[in-house]
Amino acid sequence: MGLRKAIQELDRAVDDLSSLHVQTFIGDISISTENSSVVTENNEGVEEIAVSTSTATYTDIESLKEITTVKADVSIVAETLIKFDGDSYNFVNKDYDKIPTAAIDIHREALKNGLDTRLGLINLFKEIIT
Amino acid sequence: MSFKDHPSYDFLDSKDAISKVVSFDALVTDASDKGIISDLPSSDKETYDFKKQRLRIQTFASRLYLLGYLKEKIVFKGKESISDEIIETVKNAVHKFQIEAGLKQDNWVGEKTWNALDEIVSFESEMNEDFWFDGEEIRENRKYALHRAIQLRLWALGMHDHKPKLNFELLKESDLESFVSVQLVLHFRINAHELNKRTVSYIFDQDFLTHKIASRRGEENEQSFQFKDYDEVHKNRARKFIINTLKVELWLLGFEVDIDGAYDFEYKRGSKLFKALKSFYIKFQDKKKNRARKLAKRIIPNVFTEIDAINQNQVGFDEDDFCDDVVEEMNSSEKINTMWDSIKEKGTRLWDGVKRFWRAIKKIGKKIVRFFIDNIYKGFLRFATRTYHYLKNGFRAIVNSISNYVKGEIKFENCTYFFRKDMDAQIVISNNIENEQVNYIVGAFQYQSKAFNVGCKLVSFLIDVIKKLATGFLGWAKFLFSMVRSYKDVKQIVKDFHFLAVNPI
Repeated sequence: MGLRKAIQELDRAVDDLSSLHVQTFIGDISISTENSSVVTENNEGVEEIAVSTSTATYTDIESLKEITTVKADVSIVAETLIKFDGDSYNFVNKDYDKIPTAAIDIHREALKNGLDTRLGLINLFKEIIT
Repeated sequence: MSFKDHPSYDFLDSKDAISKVVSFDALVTDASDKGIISDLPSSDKETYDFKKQRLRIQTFASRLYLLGYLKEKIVFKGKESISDEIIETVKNAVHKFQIEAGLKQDNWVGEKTWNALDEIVSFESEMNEDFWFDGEEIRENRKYALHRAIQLRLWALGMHDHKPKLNFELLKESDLESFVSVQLVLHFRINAHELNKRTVSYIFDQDFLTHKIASRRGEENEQSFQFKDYDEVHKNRARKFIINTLKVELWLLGFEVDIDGAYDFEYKRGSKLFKALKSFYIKFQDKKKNRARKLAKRIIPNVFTEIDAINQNQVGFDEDDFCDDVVEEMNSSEKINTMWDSIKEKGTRLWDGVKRFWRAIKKIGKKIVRFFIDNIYKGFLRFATRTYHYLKNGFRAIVNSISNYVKGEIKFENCTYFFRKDMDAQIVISNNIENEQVNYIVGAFQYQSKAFNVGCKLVSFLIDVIKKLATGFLGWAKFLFSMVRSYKDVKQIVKDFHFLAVNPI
């Protein structure tokens, strides 16, 4: 994709840069497709088809958010909302000590990534316009 | 294509930021398409696009010829295009070099192939020892290429009778006979007689060789080389080495001499070497014409002493300082247009000799600059190309980052990162995630945002430079000058995000 197309796509894709909202979920989860069965071989080399019943599956983020309300083993780890007027909001799961630090690390990096990217865009266009 | 053609700079008047950025990208692409600036080609197809890559094709074709991969030197002067037959010949030569240098055989003269050629032909480039050697030994899969380069260097310095040929056979230790003689007569005291890393490093260390000659004045007469304790064979070998080392040094400084490996210690008045020497005494030692003419009649140790003093200059090559000198000198469209016309035919010489020339300016002063304007041209092109290279990487970083956003998600093992329309994020992590995977994901996030930020910074900075570069520059000259003027700052921006410089996206 060339720069012109990329920026046009971005222009179409981006609604609003005035706030940043990051949510991080964790659980026994997997992405599902149309046929969610898993094909494996047993010891005799015979194909078996197994359907997991213990793993929550989701096809997109909306379905995942629905799952989190019904499945106790999929939960939201942290949620951060930063408004560019200075207000911010931070949520961390009450069972913080049970949440793997990996999840918090990833949430933090995702937040930083979002802020840096917004700053990059703002700097780019601000420098050019002035 | 006329270099004076005006590309479109009207994007600078646009208030719409997106239009500015997009139009600037178009301008940068246009510069490459028209061959105004040649970055390393991004594919094998682009490698042989003569319009875009003329300067580079000339250079690597010359180098391949010198190494014996081409039977005849290809003449590019005056040509605006080259035939398919020539392209095919050059491609085959590249292919053979890639085989003999243990490189991927894709005919693409990208960074690896370009650097490999540069290291073994250029007099000033440093050799990547890990690439060419395994401990003290030359790597088996690169032996043929390096042996060709050794023979070429020995020939250039008068220590081998022939340049490497098309049907090349590996060197034997007997091919180092002249070099061993020279070591003896000139008191090198290194005993380098095997075809290994140690010997190769001495042969390719031009500063070292010149220094040793400068240190070996005649025992009885400081104004001549006297080797009375040696037989004629040894003496002649030493003299041949001395005269050819001088030619190399003068060539690197920008004088019009030929590197030909010839034994012309008793050269004629009026010859290129004579004229170059005379010019050297006038410009570098402030001698009057008559005195310079007398001194130039024969080779005396003094000229090596002077060159050695320049080379041993304790002030290391300061690229930023040289960049300032170049910017100061190339301060008009006319000069840049003249440079363009001059530089088109240069080939290999375009990429060699910059360090020596800069050291000479530092020692002798800027008065010599205008006499060797070609070296300023070389510097100009070097800095413009590098800024352009960083800028292209900047654009690529922006496009890659936006592409990820537009896709809407990035998938990792045990983790998915979703982007929403307002660039908000939702991350989904599996319980099974491992520490290694976390480190990888964290690294990927950092890379993505850093690359994007560097890209944005570079692009906006360069647009600003062009905007502020008002009078005195027209056409493509404006674009090139803005690239050179920005070089130091662009280098700093990229250095702050070092990874982008060494890991182009």
